[in-house]
Amino acid sequence: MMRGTNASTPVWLIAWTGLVTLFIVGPLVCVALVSLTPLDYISFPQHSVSLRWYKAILDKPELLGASFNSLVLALFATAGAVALGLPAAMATARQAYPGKQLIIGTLMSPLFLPHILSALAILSAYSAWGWSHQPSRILAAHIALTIPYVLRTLIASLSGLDVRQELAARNLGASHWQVFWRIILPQIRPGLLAAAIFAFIVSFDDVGLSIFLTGAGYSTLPVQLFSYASYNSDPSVAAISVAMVIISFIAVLLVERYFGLEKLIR
Amino acid sequence: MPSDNQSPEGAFLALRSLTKRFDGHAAVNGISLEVKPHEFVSLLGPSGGGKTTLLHMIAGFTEPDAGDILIQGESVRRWPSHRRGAAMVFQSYALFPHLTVFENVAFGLRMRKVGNGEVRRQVSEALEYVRLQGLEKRYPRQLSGGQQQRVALARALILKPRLLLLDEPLSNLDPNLRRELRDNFREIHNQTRMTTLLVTHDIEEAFTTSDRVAILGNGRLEQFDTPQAIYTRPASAFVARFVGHRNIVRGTPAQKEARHFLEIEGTEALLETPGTASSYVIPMNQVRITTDATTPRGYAGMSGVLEKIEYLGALVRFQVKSGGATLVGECLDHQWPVGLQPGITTRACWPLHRMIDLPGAV
Amino acid sequence: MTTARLRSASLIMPALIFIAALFLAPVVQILAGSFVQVHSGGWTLTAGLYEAFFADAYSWGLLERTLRISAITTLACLVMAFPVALLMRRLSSTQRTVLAILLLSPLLTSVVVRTLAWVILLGPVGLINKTLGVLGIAPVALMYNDVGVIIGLTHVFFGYMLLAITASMLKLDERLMLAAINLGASRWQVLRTIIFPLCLPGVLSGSVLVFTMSASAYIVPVLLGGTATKVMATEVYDLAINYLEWKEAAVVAAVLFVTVWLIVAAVTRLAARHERIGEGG
Repeated sequence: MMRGTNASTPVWLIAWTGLVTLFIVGPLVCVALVSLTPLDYISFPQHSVSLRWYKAILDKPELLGASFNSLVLALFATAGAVALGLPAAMATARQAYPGKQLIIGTLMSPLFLPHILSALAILSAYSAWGWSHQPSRILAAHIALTIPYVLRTLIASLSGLDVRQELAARNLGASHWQVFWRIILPQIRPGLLAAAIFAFIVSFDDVGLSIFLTGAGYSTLPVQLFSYASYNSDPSVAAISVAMVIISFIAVLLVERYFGLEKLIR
Repeated sequence: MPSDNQSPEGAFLALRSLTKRFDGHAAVNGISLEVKPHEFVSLLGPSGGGKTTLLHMIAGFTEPDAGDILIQGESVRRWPSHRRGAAMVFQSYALFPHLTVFENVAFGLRMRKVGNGEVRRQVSEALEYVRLQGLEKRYPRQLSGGQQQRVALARALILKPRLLLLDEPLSNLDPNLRRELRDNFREIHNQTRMTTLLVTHDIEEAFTTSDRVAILGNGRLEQFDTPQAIYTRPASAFVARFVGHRNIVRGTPAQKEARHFLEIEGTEALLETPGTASSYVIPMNQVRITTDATTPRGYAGMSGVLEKIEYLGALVRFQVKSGGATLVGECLDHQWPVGLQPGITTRACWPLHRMIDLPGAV
Repeated sequence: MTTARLRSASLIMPALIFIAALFLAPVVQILAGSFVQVHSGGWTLTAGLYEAFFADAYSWGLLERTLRISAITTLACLVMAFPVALLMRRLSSTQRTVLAILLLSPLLTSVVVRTLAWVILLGPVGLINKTLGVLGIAPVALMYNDVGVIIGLTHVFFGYMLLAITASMLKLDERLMLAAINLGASRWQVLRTIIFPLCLPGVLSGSVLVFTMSASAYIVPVLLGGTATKVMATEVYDLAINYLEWKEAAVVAAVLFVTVWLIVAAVTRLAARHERIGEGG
């Protein structure tokens, strides 16, 4: 890649980027520091660090239960979104058919409709249909929510393939199924992994939809954290946050490793 | 294998009024043509002419809207691609990037569930044939363009097809490599005698490799003949222009005092017999340039200003402008009259019997 | 051909039916329902709830605050992200990856976590005010007002803006800039006449993204705005969850959705008219 119309990069650009980075990363660093405080209130650890607030998480059964719920929910949502999204991406990325734009628009709609509207709609409609089983209806909502991300990632991955490879394989006697297993799947494996990780993160971190669909009997970690933080402000909030950030950060590193970060949101 | 469908000359591949439309536009429009056994045929034409669509129909990737495809007298129109015995080498090869050279070549055999030992034997034979032994474990991206092409050939040939289809296999390559790989195809053809169809938009490529060339334009078959016949007897102005003729003129017969003339772009050429109104091609290598005022008998001539001289190495190309008409001629470097400079008034003449009558008027 | 169509249909149908039935149908149902009034004799079609909404000055206040906060957030994100994207162009790919991970990874951490980080910083007993207190300065109200909400939203949505602008920035052909310099353009002129117009599609799509997401954000206004800074989204939640007035909630959500997309459509149209450059992003 060619670069640098001028040899020197203006200092103000670097300084500005530094400030922006501080603004973005700084608060998260502060949270990390606060989570290590030995004191009872929000403060930086000054003389010593302590893990007491991480231990405090373990004393809150509702948080542990919610963490478990979140993990299970995210796994199932990921599986569902990939199972539905992969075939759809295959058809969309490689073929033209009538009404394609409309169909893509429909499949992507969870991304464009404000969560506050869709969450309210799902809550009221599912209730009206008599669907009150919380885990299953939140799972349905999460699958719908994550399908667009899976679809985008996989379409990007699939459109990098040369359609002629498929023709060549068919010419050599491969069935459509064999073309998929032997030619397409091995090549989109990184994209598929990224799509799955991404779906997992979106589901795991979601509050917008979950907050409407959870309730007394069933909650997720972000919702629990949100309601806990609405009434408490002790350093355990910071500890829980750090735990969630670490989970996400591991996922981000995986995505970057296998796929490249900037392809995700585009 | 005698069959009712087989034409008398024994066509190996026959296309019958093949038609394919995309969004109402006919990409291939009623094309019929017959290829003889062992023949090397090029489908030549400008891009968008329908060549690749035609090849994809023969290979079984695209279903025709109308017409039929017969291989050895048998209609294969409804057959899946791999049953037709028509192996394809793709533009930029379409090698499977995640498979090794060995597995790329073995792919067709794997699809047929051939046993491992047999696969190893056949693949190594095929790789030896294309001189790629020792590269089995490489991946396509680790190969040069020429090696990739040979992998693609080996992959196509391993199933012992009846027909080899080459879809612009040489485009996007630099000219020297192109020439080398082109010779490769011809060499393989000489060895296997396999009936071969090459799609290309490069005239030189088509002419140098092929026994016969089918010229396609706007989805129609314009001409199907040997390279020489196409150059010396183009069937239409389209073909003439496409194969590089630049002087296409309109001739109108005239009669004065019992003598017959042909009026061409404002000049008159004396004829022995009455002429016909038509479009004519004046081959560039037949145009002579002279400073004499008279035109020899049997020649047509035209006075004009020498506009441009281009040196093309062994050849000199010149342009004479007279009124609205411009005539382009070529002659060997050593035949170029010394001292002629652009701007002077000269005479361009050409033998009347070398003019090519174009059946389809402009 | 028909078999190919059938195959792609069978591949797409499961996802399509799933989204249509379990996601879009509820939205349509609730929007339609907000126009229906049920009474003893059956039901009637009415825009009464919408009339009631717009008749209330309180609603207008909510809408105005929501749009103002979203607009300021969008502008803040743009001002922050554009120079960073400029720098991205000049970095080596390793440097670019490091910077991208630093700036974009917060995008993949929960909104709650990021908002709580600001609560910890900006709160009345938060880190900033404590530091001020140590220095003997009176505490500042950084939270439970518009400023807090805007800071939070900017932090949460900055990444989307950066992604959009960087994507179009990296697509720029370096030779265009060389040509401009060759023709005597200064650095600022290159920026103004070449880079900015060609990045406009990215700027626009980033702005649309940030604006729409800010307008319907719920978590940030609740945690950083509190009860003092109510916006449309928090109103929807209150109506639906605390008062169980789903229809009224639907009206607020629908007004928000339609208003935001009208604004987006108008801005996009305007930008398209000004920029005839067909470099679609």
